Amino acid sequence: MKTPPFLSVIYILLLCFQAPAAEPEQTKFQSFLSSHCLRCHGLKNQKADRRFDRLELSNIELSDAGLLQDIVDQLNLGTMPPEGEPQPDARDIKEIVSSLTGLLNKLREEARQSSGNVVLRRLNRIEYRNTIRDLFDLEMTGFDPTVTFPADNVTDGFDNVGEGLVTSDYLLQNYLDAARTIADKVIRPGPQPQTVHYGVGAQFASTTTPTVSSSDKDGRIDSGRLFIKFRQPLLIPELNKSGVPADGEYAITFTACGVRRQSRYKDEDLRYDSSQPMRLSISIQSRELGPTSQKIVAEYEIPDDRSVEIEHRLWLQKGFTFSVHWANGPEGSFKRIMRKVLPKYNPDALLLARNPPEMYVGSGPELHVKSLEIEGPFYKEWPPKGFSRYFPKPPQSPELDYLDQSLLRLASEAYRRPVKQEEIEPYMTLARNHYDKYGEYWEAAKYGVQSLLTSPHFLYLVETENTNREELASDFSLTQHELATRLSYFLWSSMPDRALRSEADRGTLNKPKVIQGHVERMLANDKASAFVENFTGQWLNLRKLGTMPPDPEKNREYYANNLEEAMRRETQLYFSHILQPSHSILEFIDSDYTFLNSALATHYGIPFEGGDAFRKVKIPESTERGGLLGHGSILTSTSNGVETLPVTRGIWVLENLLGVHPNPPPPDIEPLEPDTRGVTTIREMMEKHRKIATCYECHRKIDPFGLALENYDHLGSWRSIYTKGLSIDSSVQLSEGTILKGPTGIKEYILARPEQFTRCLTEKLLVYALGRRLSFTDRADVDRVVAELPKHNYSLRQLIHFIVASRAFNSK
Amino acid sequence: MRLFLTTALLVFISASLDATSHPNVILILSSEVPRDELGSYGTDTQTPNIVRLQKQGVRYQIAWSMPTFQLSQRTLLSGKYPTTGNSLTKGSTTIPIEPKKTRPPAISVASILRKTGYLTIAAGKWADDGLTPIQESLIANGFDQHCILDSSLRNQQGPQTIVVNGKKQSVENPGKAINTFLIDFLGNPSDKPFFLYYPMHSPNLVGLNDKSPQKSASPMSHARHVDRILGQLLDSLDESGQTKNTLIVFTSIHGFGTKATPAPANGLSDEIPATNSMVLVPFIVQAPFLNEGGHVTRDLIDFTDFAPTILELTSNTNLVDYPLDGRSFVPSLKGVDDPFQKRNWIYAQAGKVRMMRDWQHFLDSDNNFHDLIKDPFQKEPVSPLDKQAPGRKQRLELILQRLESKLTIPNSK
Repeated sequence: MKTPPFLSVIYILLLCFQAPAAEPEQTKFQSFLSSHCLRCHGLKNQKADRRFDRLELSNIELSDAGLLQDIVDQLNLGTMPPEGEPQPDARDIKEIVSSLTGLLNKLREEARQSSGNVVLRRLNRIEYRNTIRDLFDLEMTGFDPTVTFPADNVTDGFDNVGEGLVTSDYLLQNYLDAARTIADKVIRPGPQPQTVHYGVGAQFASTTTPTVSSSDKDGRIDSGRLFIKFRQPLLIPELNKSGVPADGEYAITFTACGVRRQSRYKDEDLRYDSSQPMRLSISIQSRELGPTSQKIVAEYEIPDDRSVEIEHRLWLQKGFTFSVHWANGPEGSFKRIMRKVLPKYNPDALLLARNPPEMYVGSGPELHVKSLEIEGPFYKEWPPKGFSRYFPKPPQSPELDYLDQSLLRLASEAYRRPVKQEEIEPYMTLARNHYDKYGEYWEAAKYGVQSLLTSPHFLYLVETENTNREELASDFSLTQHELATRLSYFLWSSMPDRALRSEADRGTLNKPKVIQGHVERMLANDKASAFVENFTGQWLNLRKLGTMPPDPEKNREYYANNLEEAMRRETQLYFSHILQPSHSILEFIDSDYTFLNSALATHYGIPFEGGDAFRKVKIPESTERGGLLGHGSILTSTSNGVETLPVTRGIWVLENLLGVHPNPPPPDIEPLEPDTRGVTTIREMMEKHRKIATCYECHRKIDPFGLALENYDHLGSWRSIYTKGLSIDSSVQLSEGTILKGPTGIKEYILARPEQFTRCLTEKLLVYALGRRLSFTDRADVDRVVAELPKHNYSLRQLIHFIVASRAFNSK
Repeated sequence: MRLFLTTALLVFISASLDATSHPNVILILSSEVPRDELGSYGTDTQTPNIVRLQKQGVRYQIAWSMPTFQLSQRTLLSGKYPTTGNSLTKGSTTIPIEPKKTRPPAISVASILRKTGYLTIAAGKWADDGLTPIQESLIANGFDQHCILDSSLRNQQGPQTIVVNGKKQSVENPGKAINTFLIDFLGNPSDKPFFLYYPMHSPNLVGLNDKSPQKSASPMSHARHVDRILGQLLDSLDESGQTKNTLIVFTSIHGFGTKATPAPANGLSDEIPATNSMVLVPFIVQAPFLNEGGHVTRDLIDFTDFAPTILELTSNTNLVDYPLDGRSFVPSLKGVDDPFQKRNWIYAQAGKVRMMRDWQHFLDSDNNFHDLIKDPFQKEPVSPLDKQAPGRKQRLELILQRLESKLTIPNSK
């Protein structure tokens, strides 16, 4: 029916007047957006994939809250609108920021009511391994039940984030197999294994007939005397067949003597450093597990011309053997010495012929091993602790009640909380049925243990919903045991120990002073090295170190001096040091010290006295190092082994120090062709980033930080020119216009905005501690930390305490 | 008075010649010692004294002789290879280098020792040139005393004639007679050190103990016989207290006598096959003043090494003004590790063939090349898969060439 004309007019008028239904904020916001933002982030363009024209403050969705937060952040940082665009009035910015912040807080509270996500997070590989170690007091050297486990997915930079830790059927199968292996290792009901004694050497020689001298083969037995010519291993043949008979502590004894350390041959000819004392290293390996199981466990210095007897005690898993090597003997093959070196010295040797080894042996440096033996296994206590903890005083004859009780004992430790018998009834039944079927008591026990170890209560860090939801609608706090578990996996990557568990049992763990005391205790414990290794491994890229190793030919020292390991160690020691009380996180950005051994000091060009041991070294004024940006580990892991990658470095700085996450590159971008002629610098090659507008959007933020670090080459050494002589220009302009020069410039820039770095580090630590991605609701905790930390001199330890005390950490 | 004192001083000095810098030297050559392929000689029951010598001395696994007595004697006493000219004075047929030119004879080590105050005795066999009377030849080559069964004076049957210090004697059992002579000598030590050169005749020739010469017996009984003689000599040394400063070298002229390499049925003749087996001989050295003994070594030795060794031991190396071909094996006896002080090849000649070897490989001038460890009887060629062999061969060729470039006279028989 046709509406009367005057009604339509009224209708239209009403519409016109409806709009300003109060929200002057909305209008202000809209007008701000349209004048400064919508051109690039609106209908026509969505730079950096952000679009603001649909935002309505009155009707904001939770999903848009993140976008709003973004706007606030960028305005605060001053990075938006970018340089070159008309800048808004400072007053306007303030108004918008404060109104938005208020809105965001309100939204946050609402969100907290309706979320309350329970995160299901399983143990990752490292956590599984450590938990097994602590659950059963097992010596894990050479034993890795997770060796075939698939790698864990990385989410938000960390591999302990529940969201990414999926469980495939392949992993389940691995869990079953690993649990079986572990059960086999742990359950040892019999008497202590007898010791064995194997050896080679004068007293073991069966005959004094000299063997025929063969060719370039291994150590020679000559009238009962063994010696090592080069770097080949010396071992006990009897042992090598099947390895040691049982897990346990073994004592390796050897007598060795260095002979002719300095001989008639020049060092360059032998590829040998005669100024270093001879060193003998012991390494262990398992034939079953293959060459990847080989590990060097010790090194000893051997004196010249004087025999020394050394005993070394170590733990060996069943089936392992050991060998000794001359760690710093002449490099390269014996064949080369006989063909190329010997003729230089002996006129009766023919150049490039395989001259008889008898013409060399006895004239050059040699490490004589007069005897080599192994004895064991020895045990400090029997049965082993891990077994007697759950199976104390095993009965002489099979008793099923005892088995049940043992499984219950194990479950209450493995589940990390008190367990009622009914809960593990199914597992007990499994074990009993196994016994009924096969009649083997200890096999049934192993079966029971195996099944317990595959229970989800063990494999997952379970945080159940509070049962009485209506009553505890606003209480999402963790139970005592859940808190203990979370704390323990944060600082130790392993299960709670007795002290922590007892505290939780008593119900007093969540008291502030109590939990602080535990944090201090746990950080002082050796197990905290797991925190250092795992957190720095991921935050500081240490796990990536070694994925793109440099060319061995051109970078000999990297391998010869084990620089990779040294670099990793430097960064770990640095982090551990700052973790001590009264150190500031700003030392991550810049400091006047670092931790070096002699190899690494040589690499950096810093004078150093002392040998291989790491120690704290003051960095000389003239050297541009200090802070994480001078660490070889970060500089090497952000290169590709051949040349530096400024984009990778830039992204690293943005993500890990400034907390800014640039968008990923568009698909189908061709990688940059390296200019091996060296006639253009990398800066020139990255011109495309500047010329093409869409590239420039993101790269204007990324490239400057990477290019400012160009003075560090692909291994972190300082260089003032490129290899072909082109000069390095390390001054850059950031997207908001600031100009910085070199690494010092970057450090000054970051130190001028310490709250940004604090926020970044806090967020990272929080992700690692919580094992989940940060959501909108966590912002309050982070904000509080960022505000409080400066008052504590930016102490890292205090930061940890804050995190442990935060609402997020104590809630599900 | 002064003269008296000076003389007394001189006598005192000469009398107190340091024993270990002037050891006694005994060189025994006997071809009757059977050995197995690895080189252990004799057995406790059959040849206890040979075993005793091994226990007190050093056994050389790889030692080469010259395959005839003539060549061996010349090489041993001169320290030079036949090809570089080692004919002794009036001791052997001299071969002209070129027509009308002869090489001066080599000096026997016995002459040098005699000059420095040693007593020098030769017993058993002596290789002569067939022209000079034996005693002249012996004296010219440095031997004061001798007790030789001259093969030229040999009778087919009945008593034999031996020459003792120039005088002929007729004896029923020459072997026994020679032995008695030696035991007497050893039993009465003088204040001078001595050098005894004792190539033993075959027991076939000299008779076994009291048995008459012509009766031949099994090789084992020969060995037992030699063993007995050796035992008597060792005992005599022990009793007279001279063992501690006596160097004894016990070796052989040819390498036959093993199960695998029995002596040719017709005895040694010119048609001797030129192989390692022929010249690889037992070589045992007892030197209590240098080592404790009782071990085995694979250090290389050939017969040119004897003279330099003696010269080094008696500090007389400077008395020889021409280069010797051999190397002293004193470092080896002392147990020195350094291969630069020891040999890395040895050489022998058989007929026209020149042979050389190292620890593992053998090469001769007819280009036969063998791996003696895998193939001790030289029956197979070296496998082409052996990567080291070509280099070893080239090295031996190089050294053989170097040696041949020093040769200016064709080798003798």
